Amino acid sequence: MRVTLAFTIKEFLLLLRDPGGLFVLFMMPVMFMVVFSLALGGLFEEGAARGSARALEVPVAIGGAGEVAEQVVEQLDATQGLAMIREQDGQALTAEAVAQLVADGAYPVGVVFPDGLTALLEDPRILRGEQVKPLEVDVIVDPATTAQVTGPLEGALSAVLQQVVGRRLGEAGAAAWFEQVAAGLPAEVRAQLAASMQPDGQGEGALPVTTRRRVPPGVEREQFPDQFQQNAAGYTVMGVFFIATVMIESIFRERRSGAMRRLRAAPVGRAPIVISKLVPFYVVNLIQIVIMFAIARLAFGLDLGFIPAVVVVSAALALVATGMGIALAGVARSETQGTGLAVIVVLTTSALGGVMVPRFIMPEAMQQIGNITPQAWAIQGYQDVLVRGQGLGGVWLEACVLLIFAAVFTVIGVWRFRFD
Amino acid sequence: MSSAENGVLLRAGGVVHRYGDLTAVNDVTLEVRRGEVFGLLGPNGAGKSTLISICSGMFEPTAGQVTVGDRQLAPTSRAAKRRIGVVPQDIALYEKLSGRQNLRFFGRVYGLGGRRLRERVEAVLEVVGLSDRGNDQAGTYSGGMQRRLNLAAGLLHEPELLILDEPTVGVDPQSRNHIFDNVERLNRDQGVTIVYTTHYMEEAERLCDRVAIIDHGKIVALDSPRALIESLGGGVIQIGIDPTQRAQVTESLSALASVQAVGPGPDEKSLNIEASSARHALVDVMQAMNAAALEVETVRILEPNLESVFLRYTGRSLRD
Ligand SMILES: Nc1ncnc2c1ncn2[C@@H]1O[C@H](COP(=O)(O)OP(=O)(O)OP(=O)(O)O)[C@@H](O)[C@H]1O
Ligand SMILES: [Mg+2]
Repeated sequence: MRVTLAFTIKEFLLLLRDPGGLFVLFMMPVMFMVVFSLALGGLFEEGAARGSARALEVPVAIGGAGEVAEQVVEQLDATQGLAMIREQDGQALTAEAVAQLVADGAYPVGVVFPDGLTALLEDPRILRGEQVKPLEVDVIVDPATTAQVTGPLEGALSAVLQQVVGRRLGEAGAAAWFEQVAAGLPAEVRAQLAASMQPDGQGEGALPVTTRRRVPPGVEREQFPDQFQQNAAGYTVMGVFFIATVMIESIFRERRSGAMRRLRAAPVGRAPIVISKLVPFYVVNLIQIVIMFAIARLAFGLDLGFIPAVVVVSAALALVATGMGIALAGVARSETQGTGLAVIVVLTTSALGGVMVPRFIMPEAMQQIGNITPQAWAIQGYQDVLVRGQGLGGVWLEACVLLIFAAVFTVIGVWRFRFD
Repeated sequence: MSSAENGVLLRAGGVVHRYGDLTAVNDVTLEVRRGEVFGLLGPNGAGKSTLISICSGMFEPTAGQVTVGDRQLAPTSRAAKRRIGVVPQDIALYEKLSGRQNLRFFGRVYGLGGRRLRERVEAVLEVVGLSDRGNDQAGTYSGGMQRRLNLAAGLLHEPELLILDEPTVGVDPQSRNHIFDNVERLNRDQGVTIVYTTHYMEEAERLCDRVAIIDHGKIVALDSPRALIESLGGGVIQIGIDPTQRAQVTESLSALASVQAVGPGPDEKSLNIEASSARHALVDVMQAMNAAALEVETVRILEPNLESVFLRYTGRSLRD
């Protein structure tokens, strides 16, 4: 115990001797978070919306909404970048099924049409221009989805609704009015009038159908993630993994110093040496996470949700990061190779894990691969709390998966740990 | 009778160490007696550091074993390791930490703590004359000061056995004398047993009670410096010859009564001639060469010292 403490103190002293390295470690993710959230925010959204190669797949429940809904869905489906999914396993999707699919994270967004939509548009009160209680088309959104993903769908849906419903109302309304006013007119005049009437209902004021954003039932807080929630979680996760470069540097420097040789002659086992390489960096990681969320909270008003849940995810995440550091140090043959490898591994797994671009806009195969990165689980854990407002119960699965990653990495690192 | 009782502190038995195909230590057996200064003398690459690393429990030999007192030494045997202090050949310090921080760290690693740790740190700083520089970063020390701190780190826990691997390399004469004094004092006043590796024969002659000469991983001679020198008899005459006449020269000189042995010299063109009295033998040698019409290009008389002992056993000079 005393020996482990000695090693840990030594490691802290060494870390403090090189504050420059730590400063870089702390600043980098902060910079990423701020830059990507502010400076490039608009660009990022536009680019993501336009540039995603794959059509956004949207499950849709038509139910008893009838022909009008069919028409809307058809037009949406024909819209570039959107693919509407009406059925699953040969069964038409129900409102519950759509909500479930979104709640499960299978799709970022779904659409549910209200029963009786077509019938409402044929309601004589509407045709007479009377006010009726409007129906709502629900846009079911995964709260962790950013506006850049749902935006195109919501825009297209409003436009298409406007068009289809408006036209239908125009046609039906005009026909009813015509029947009323032109009843007694001569046949030629009626024909003339009918020809001059454009079946154009657009811009006629409030439609009796509106759209409404909703989170799937069972997901508590009705709040939608902004750029900051995505980026704060994402770049915090990426940032902690860069501890690997600092750890590799420290381990190789110690080997180079020859001090490791002396330690081999000392009455100490591997455990205190390896632990001392984990504990201080673990603490550094925790400080790093605190800094990131503090900045996101104070400067950008990020709501942290249930703090203990954030702490649980953070604690597990930092374990994975230090574990990965010691594993990479064990695998690397030289310091240069090690830090290079660390940068490549961290950037690649971070990208796959959804740090820079949310995962659901990636192709299916990439999403599957992303699941084997700890970053994906950590981000999901954070978003469960920050965005979906969940508590400890919402993050235990992610925390367990992260602990498994941490255990595997640490075992590899301890097994491959060399003194010189 | 156990080895502890008969005064043997460290024993290496049949130690072999290979790095891949290279046999760095080749079947070494030796005993270091309690209270002595034991020298290990050999040229670069002889296997000194490898042997010493094994004797301090840094790694296990390919074959053979090492015991400290009654206990077998292995990388995991903490009790045995605690009795040994090691000063590696290469500086083994944290450059970014101060001298005191380094010592506190290594002291704790050897189980010291609290007041005792503080006392020991100050005591060893005093011993190596670094008290006033103790708070400076080790990386800012001169080479000689780093060596002294390196030595200090091995003394902290007051080991019974101190193993020093070429502690004076790259050190100015003043620091060197300082280290000699320390070694002598530790041995004389505190009864610390010392294993001292060097390739300077003056150091071995001055400090060591017994010296093992090691070459190509083998112990080629082991005795007190005086006995080793006396075993040479009168000394060595080194003559330069025409290499084509080598066999002939060897044959005719070996026949001389005043010559004890004729062996290869440091190169092709020279021979080492051992004699009970170099001066007397020289006359005989020159006469014999003349009589046989053999050429003598150079003649050197080597006063008997460890250098000539080394020459005798390895055919090479220590500095080769
Ligand atoms: N880690 C290693 N891997 C491979 N070969 C090694 C290693 N360490 C030493 N050797 C080789 O083993 C032999 C003995 O080396 P060692 O360092 O023990 O010699 P030494 O007597 O201490 O030499 P010096 O006086 O230069 O310190 C040398 O040929 C050396 O090249
Ligand atoms: Mg050596």
